[in-house]
Amino acid sequence: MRKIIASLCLTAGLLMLVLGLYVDQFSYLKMLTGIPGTP
Amino acid sequence: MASEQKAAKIQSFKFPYSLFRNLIQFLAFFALNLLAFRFVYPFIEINFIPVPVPVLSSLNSSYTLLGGVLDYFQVMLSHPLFPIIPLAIILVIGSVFGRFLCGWVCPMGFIQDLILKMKGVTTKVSLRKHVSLIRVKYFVLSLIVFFSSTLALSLFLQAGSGYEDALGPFAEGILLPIAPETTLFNTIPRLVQAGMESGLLNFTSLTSSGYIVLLGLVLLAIFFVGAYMVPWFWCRYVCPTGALMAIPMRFSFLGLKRDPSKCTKCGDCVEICPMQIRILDLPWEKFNDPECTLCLECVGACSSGALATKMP
Repeated sequence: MRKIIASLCLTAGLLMLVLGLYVDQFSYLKMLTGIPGTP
Repeated sequence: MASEQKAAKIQSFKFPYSLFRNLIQFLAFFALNLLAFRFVYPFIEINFIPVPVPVLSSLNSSYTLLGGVLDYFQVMLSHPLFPIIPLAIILVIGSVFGRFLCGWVCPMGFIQDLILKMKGVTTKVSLRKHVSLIRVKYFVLSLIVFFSSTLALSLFLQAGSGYEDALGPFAEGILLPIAPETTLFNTIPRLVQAGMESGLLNFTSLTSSGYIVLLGLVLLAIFFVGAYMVPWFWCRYVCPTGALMAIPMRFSFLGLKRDPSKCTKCGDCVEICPMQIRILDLPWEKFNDPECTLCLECVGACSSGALATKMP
């Protein structure tokens, strides 16, 4: 049972990673370092 | 005769898991804060890598090479943007390795490990207190998720500007400006570098940066005092990233197993475990305790070689 859940999570994670690459979320993440306004 | 001696030597050899892990942690500590070297050696061209990692690595710090996954999660929701990549990283790393990175890569975990090594004694907390305190980190995580998701939803529906103003400096993340890793790797270096000119010591109103800095320093003091009193205090009871990774740890591919034919039930593994896991009460075929960071201290301490990693 645990292996099935882990496999499902892994598949979902990989699909989300592909989706993230497709919508080019990495280029957005690049802008988030050193956020102004926080101490 | 020589071959027998050689075989006995091989059998008695114990891999120094603890030392090896500390070496990996040490390298990870510098790797995650690699951009600090740009200040010392300006000719080095290293840039921030936009990949979230499930450890405490402050996104606010200008030294950070890789940001923490929960920091990304909060900041993206405050913009508002669905955190696809952070969630994907949690699912992929969590389902395969569980909380492995907590014990092997996290810089704050390394600091706590050093404190534990310097103290030299793994202090035990009473079971009842320990079980109750574990819930605190899940409460902290739910607070973060609640504020970040409600803010994201209200901003998405274009009705959240008042909510955002009310949250003030905590709008980008309820724990983000005061987290110990932010104070240690961002606030303190900025205060040391620029002092009063950093603008961090402003006490004009209650939401001014001065009070946030003070709150962050108090949390950092709790982190250090807690780590001295209880092994891995922050990881055990407060860390929201740890709570987040504890969810997939329950069913992750990587886990531990105990060979009952070799196990003498001496209790050395339970004694050394910094997370106070009752290993002998867990199923021997494979165990994935949500509190386990797979630090392998128990594997190193087991004189009969009954404990080992298991994948899947």
